[in-house]
Amino acid sequence: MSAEQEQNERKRKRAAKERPRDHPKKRSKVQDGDKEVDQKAELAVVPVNDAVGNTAIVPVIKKKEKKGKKKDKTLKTTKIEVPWSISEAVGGWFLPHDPVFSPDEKFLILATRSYLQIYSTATSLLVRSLRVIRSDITSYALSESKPTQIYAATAAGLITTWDLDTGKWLGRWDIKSEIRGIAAALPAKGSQDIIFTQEAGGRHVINAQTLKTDTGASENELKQILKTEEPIQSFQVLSTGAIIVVALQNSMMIGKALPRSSTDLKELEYVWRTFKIQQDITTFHARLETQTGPIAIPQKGSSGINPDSLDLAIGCVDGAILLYNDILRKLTKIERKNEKKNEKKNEKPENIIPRRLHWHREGVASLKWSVDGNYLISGGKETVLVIWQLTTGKKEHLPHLTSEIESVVVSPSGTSYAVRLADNSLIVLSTTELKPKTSIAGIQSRRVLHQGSESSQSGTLPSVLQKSSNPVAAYGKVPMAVNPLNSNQILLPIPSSQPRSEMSDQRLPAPYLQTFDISTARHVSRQALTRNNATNFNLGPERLKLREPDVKLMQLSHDGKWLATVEDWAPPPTDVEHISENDKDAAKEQSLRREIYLKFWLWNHQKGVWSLEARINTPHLFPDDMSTCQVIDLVSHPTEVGFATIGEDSFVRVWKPKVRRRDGAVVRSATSDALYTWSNSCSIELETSIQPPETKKRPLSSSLPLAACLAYSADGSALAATQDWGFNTAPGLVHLINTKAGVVHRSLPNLYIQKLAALAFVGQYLVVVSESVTVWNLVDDELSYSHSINLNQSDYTHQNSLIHLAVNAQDGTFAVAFPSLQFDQLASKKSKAPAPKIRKASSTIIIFDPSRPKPLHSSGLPDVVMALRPTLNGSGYITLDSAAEVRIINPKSSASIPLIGPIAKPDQSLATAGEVEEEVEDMDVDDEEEVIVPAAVKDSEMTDDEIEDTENDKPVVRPEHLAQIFDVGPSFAGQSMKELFNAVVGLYARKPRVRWEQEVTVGI
Amino acid sequence: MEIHRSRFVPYPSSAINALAFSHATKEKTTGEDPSSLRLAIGRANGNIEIWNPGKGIWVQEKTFSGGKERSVEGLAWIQEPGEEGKGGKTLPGRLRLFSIGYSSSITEWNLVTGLPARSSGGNHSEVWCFAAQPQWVGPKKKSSAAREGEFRGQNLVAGCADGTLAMISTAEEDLRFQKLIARPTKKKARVLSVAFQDRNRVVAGYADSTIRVFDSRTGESLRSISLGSGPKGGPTEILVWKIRCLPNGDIVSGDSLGELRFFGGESYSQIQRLAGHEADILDLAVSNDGQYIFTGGMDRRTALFKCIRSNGKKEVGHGSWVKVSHSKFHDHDVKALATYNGKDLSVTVSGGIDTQPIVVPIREFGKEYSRSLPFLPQTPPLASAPGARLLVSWWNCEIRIWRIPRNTGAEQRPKLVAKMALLGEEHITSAAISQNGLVLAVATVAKVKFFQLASHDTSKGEKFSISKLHSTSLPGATLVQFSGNGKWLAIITPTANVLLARLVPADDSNQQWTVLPRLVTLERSTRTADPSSLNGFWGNYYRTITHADFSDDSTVLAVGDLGGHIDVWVVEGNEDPTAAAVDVAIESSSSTDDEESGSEDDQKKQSIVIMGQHWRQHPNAAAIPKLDSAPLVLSFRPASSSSQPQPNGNPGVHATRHNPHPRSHELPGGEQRFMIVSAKHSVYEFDLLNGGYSGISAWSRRNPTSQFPTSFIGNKDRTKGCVWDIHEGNERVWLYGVNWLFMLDLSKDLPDPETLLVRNGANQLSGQELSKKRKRKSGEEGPRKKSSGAGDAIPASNVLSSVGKFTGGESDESQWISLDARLTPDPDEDGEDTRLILPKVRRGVKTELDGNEENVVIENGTENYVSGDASEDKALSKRKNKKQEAVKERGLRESWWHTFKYRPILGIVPIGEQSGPLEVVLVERPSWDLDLPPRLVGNHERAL
Repeated sequence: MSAEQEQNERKRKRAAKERPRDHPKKRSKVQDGDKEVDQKAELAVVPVNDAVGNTAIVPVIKKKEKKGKKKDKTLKTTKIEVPWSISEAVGGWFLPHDPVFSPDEKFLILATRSYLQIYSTATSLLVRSLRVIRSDITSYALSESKPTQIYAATAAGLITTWDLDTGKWLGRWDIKSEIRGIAAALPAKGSQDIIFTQEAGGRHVINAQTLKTDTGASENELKQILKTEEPIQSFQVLSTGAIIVVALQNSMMIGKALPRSSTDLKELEYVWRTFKIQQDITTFHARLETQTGPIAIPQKGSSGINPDSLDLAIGCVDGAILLYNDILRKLTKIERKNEKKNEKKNEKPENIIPRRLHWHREGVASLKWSVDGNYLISGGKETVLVIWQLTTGKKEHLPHLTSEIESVVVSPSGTSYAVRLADNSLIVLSTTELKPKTSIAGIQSRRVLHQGSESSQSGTLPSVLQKSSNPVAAYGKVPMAVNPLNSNQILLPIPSSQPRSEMSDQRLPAPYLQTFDISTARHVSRQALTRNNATNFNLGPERLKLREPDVKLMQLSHDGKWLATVEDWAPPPTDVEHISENDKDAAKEQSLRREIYLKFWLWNHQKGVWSLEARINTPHLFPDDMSTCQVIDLVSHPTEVGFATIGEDSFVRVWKPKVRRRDGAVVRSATSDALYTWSNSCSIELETSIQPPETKKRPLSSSLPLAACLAYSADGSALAATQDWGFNTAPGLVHLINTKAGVVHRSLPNLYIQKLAALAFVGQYLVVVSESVTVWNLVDDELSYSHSINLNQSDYTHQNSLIHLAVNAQDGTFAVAFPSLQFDQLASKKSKAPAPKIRKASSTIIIFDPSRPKPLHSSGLPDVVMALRPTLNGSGYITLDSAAEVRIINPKSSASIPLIGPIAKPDQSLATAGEVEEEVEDMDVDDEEEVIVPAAVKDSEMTDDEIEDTENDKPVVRPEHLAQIFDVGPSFAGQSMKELFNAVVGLYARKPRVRWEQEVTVGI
Repeated sequence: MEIHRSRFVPYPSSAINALAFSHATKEKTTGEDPSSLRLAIGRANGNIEIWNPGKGIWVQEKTFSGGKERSVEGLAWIQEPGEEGKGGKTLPGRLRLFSIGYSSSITEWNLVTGLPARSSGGNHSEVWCFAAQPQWVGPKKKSSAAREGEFRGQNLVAGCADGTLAMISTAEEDLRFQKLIARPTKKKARVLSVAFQDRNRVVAGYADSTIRVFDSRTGESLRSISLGSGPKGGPTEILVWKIRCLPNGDIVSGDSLGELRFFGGESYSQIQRLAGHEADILDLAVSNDGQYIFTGGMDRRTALFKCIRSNGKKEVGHGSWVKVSHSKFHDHDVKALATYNGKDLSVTVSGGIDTQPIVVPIREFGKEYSRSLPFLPQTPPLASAPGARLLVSWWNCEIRIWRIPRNTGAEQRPKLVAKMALLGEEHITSAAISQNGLVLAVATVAKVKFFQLASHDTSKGEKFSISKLHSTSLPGATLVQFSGNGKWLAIITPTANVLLARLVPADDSNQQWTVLPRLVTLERSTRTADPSSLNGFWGNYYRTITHADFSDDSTVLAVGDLGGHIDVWVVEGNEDPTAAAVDVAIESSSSTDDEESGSEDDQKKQSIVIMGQHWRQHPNAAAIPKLDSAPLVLSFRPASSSSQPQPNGNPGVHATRHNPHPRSHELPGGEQRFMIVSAKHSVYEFDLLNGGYSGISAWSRRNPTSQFPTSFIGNKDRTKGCVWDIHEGNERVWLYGVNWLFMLDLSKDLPDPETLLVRNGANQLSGQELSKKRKRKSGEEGPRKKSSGAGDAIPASNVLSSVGKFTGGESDESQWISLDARLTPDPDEDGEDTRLILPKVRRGVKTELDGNEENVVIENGTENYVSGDASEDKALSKRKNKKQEAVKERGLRESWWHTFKYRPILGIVPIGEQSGPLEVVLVERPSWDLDLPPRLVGNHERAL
């Protein structure tokens, strides 16, 4: 396929996508789509959505030639011989939205930015994901009329609906304003859902509307039912739309529908009652208690009062929960009394005192009534689920959850609680035993929310964004590693939790290690690498959060058995202020108390965890005052077990394991593995400080390198090391170290000027990334080429530390990723402004062949790349970005990591979705069909649009399947060896499905 | 004014052990709160304080002083059944107050004298708790009313340490052990709490996790309810600390687990169990409608529980009680609670080891703040001898005397010069020291003692000696007060008699002063007492004298009593050292020449003349009006040395007719101006010489209380005392309460409230804005008047105070409806407006009633305020405005001033010579200075 052809194909696809759908009853057709996309195409960087997957076969539709030409021009810059593709995003953070149970509680619906994810509560597996296009999801709700139908609203004002069961796309409407919340209610008389949307923008409005999917002739109706001055936080619709409860910042509004004669939406009218709360409201939940017993005889004049009592629980920012029992009746009673106040003067109305439940120290993040109304379930920053027993005044606690609670949901039958935590995970607990039934976790890597992106839709706690001096610090590199033993798995240090309420520009320390399987998009394991205090009382006496050590560097050995981490902890400046006399001293005191550990971990097969084998305190020391100095880079030997570090003290140290011997015999552990000790096998001193002539008089120790890099050659025989001192007079000197001899073999000067970012060997080439990418041919000892990087530099920021370089040894390419940040101009104009705010952040990734100056591929990514690693089984790269989404970039011809999507096929009923093998069968038969997966593509638009071409004819065997075979109880109770063998072979060799079903029944 | 801010006086406040309201409900006939409603606070040092909560004023009226090793552990009031009075009127029944201590007896208190009246005997063991029978309610049906001879009073039941319950009869105005209701239990478990379920059923909570119900008539045990065993790891027995009965007969208990349990009144089965405290519930109080329960406990929490009975249902079922909220008002265990929920007053008072009573609203809970009442006594236990720079303080049986050094800039600390402990059991009620610091009088309810103080400068420094003066046995007193020259001591006896003792100074300091054996008894004018429940068979409660003061020249004595009456006596004649020390003359009252009210009785009276001086009632005394409430400050203005020469002590100056007759009828001509601040924050100045018939001075007429700045009237804490600043023509008085200090310049008029408003706001306020302000102000004042007796209204409250209502979705169209029922206009308001006009008229202002009233009033007000009517012409001059502004600013600034900087103030007394600038000692007793015992629960927590 020539390049032109491909371009044309792209055009066609786009055209297909923008072709008007066959649902004429949309409230307003999506008409402006064409224009939008064309504008996007004019950018030099191809937007992700369009770059995803290029090989889907779509019907050819004629397109206007003019536009196509334009696009050809623009796209030429990125044109290359071998087309590269960027995969769909994997992972991402779940939205701050209450998870939704399906009515039968078999499925749980969560959402990331662009997907609705349907998980099975029984297996915790992703069953289906529904892709929303062109904007971010803000809210979603189940239909009341058809319980399998779900509505999702986006920030751009689109409401999309699907059938959950079949994944069938049902319709889409454009509301044309930013939707923040959505709810559906089925009126008492009627078969059509009323959709309530909370809209933002210039006004704060709640609208009610009917959205017709069928081909009915009538127009969709719209009725504005509430308009407020203040922004609406959230709202809840109760009793088939008869009552709406709305929370503003510190006041509540309760709307009660007036009786209406017909189902005409125009007649829908609400009487609103509003009252103020002393504190800011963080969350609320209302509950309508229907009186079951004999209905109390209506007193005189009390007709029209709903016999149901509305109980309202409000969580406040100070941690108190206010409980208003039967609030609506009391309010109406008082109003009536006020109206007749001339008649009864002396009678005083009842004082509406809320009950005040105060246990939470900080704002209540989420609050729900139990189904019977006897309990209140709340959670917050304390990582404790509190269950309030309202009739006895007692409370039950479920402490030590892994992270702050962000939302709590009670399942429709009341038998389980879904608790969404701030570490991007969710557990479903059974109500009776409080034991987890389901556990779902996404990538928990550090993510960055910048203002304007997500804070506007935060539903609960008011976010307090702290300002740091360096706004890009949060985008710092994540030392991700790909497991050589299982190239689908990535390892990454993660923060203990990232509550939305305290997202800041600060770099959160990452004390944990998460293993994540990209291929199945599943969390594999999580373990602590440093001391941590996620669930203990973690506030200091000044109510500042205690800081955990941060794993700054991490490397896996070439065989994947060893893990080296460098962690760094220093007391916060406020803790050393009182010791020191001035600021300079403070920094010194802080560095004196800095703790830096180099830790070596060995993979423990039995337990499936990394076990700590050796810890080296302060691997690098300043020779003059023996104080701790920071480790700047850590690399792993490419062919044998060993690591090299470079520190601020200008030493390169090589660390090697030694089998521990006692009297010549190998010391073995209980499991008869040899024990190792790690030691510094050699250390090479580089130049300590290259002084510019005019500053020669300064003492040597006063200057530290700004950056330093290490790189092993592919065979490990050479180690390149360089330090950037930031002086113009000492341009980039790269030392080549003979690792056998441990001496500096050669020093290459002038490889870069300053702002060193990365260093790597690619075959015979040495690549140095600074302000430009310099490729030096070591064999010919000449410059191969240099390619400059265009960074949107700012005086305040050190964006060079955000440049990533990765080398794929398999195909001899390397990739460079760099951010492009847009700052708020207003802030940077002032000279003394604390720090410019980042308005928009994206990044660019360029893939080079060292022998050719022309980049192989260049593309843009919507977020800042925070880690870039090569895939280990084939050419390609893995990126992790600031939205915690992983993408794979690879040449189209080689699929390095298969992305296995949800287990349910499009149009397959969810009830049968467990039987995955059917699909595998199908695929086996039809090799031509390329619909492998991102089964994201339930949307009919998407199916003919972008389909991932993870060509793969290997059977998909999930660990769960194996587990189902093996975990059947004690060995004596299980099947015979032969049966087991057959079962396993059946998995891999694709025996007839009958076999599989049998196994399933056994497994259950 | 120079202030010695001092915290060295170690006045120990005493923990509150018991609280009791005299009435449970509002009066049935009128629906009003009874005027005789009092709160009794029993303290660990044996004192019982009687507080008058009257409409949220909260004045500590009386203190029944305790003694050594006495402690009040429980209090109960009963009211005798009403009696048929003259003309068929029902006289309110008398109130009787009982207390228990660490003994086996119950003590009844004489409300008038503040002395124990009688105590019950009985051979039961120590009384741990007691309760009064509910009031007898006349049967509704006539048919069953026939039971003659039924006891209609309220008996007492005492629960004892060995588990017995004893019935104590209060019949026939007596207190006698009647019978035992319950015998000791096997384990001899203490009875921790006892309550009457109705008039005959007694419910008692024991220390062995049991509640037992008895019939008080037969002693039959009706039921025994076990609470089960305690939690694992804790003590096995649950202590039922408190038991109470709800109006519907249900029983509620608070126990050592911190749980409230509700039991059915008939079935005696548990209805509900509610956790609410982290530690023991020590007391609980039920509001009289049975809708609210307050609990207090060892975790320092005061919690509110509410009954949420669903509509229409009468019976209380499971889940009908809920905990509303709790807060930590106290720094230590909450030991006692009492509620009163009447028409206006609707409060719970709580007290504990931190000695501070806290008033929490019931009906307006959440809408009004809680309020802490002062934990320091109303009358400061301080006295000073300014001339000798001595400061005297006392508590219990101890007296400390300090010498306050001059503030010379050098670090000089007050020196403790003497420390005395009084022999005998009784606590000191009052003490006085003469101006020159030579004589000290100390009073207990049993005796008044005199001490002579002398200091000698020795080589080692000052040596201070105290010697007791021999005197014939003097009666006990509640109040003693020296005259300025130290020759007279006014002794107010517990029976509200006023006696005068005459001291004869010694010629030189080595000799002892002598106390003349004969005391002068001053007659108080008889006043008809209003019928009140407080006036027991002992006499008139309201006749209790709380304040007494001599004029500066020692010639006039004024006393004020709780009823608001002022009695003034004056001395006739000048001191004649040559005359007989004591001369008793028989005189008929008709010999006096003025038309005294009591002149018609021609009884012969004994008249005592001491050294030629004779005390008689002041001629104007009868005309002094009755105050609106009890006086809290009564103080004579010291004669400013510049204006008036000292008339006394120098008989030669008086060249008036000096009679050879030993008796002189001449009345002294010195200044007779005294100031009174009443419990309602009304300030009156009396000028008996120039004040006309009623004696109210011109300043006071021009500046009635309504004219006072809100920063004074709005103070919730009552006035405790005052000091005068008359140095160099100043006419200032510094009033103080427990938390505030307020200066008032009597040489100037107070600004109009309207002028104040203008000043507070911008100067260029238009009339419209002004009227707005005024409206708002009156709106603010409205609720305060209608306060439930606790603190101010909470401006932003979680309790719904107003609800917006709108239809159709546009929130800006919402109408706000107040949920307050207090919408009815206050009838008082109109009356106040007319009152406001009077002072204006007195100041010479013609109020114009046209549209621009405010502006006119302001102008006129300030003008006249500046220079009186003489400035009419000046004011019309061109520079009128500028001048006015300047003068107004200055004048306004100086006519009054206040500060909240010092708190809590135990007292302020002057120190240093009168001629010099005013120098005072301000004694503070911060609450953190209290010596609290370690907490059992939550000791690590920070006090809020």
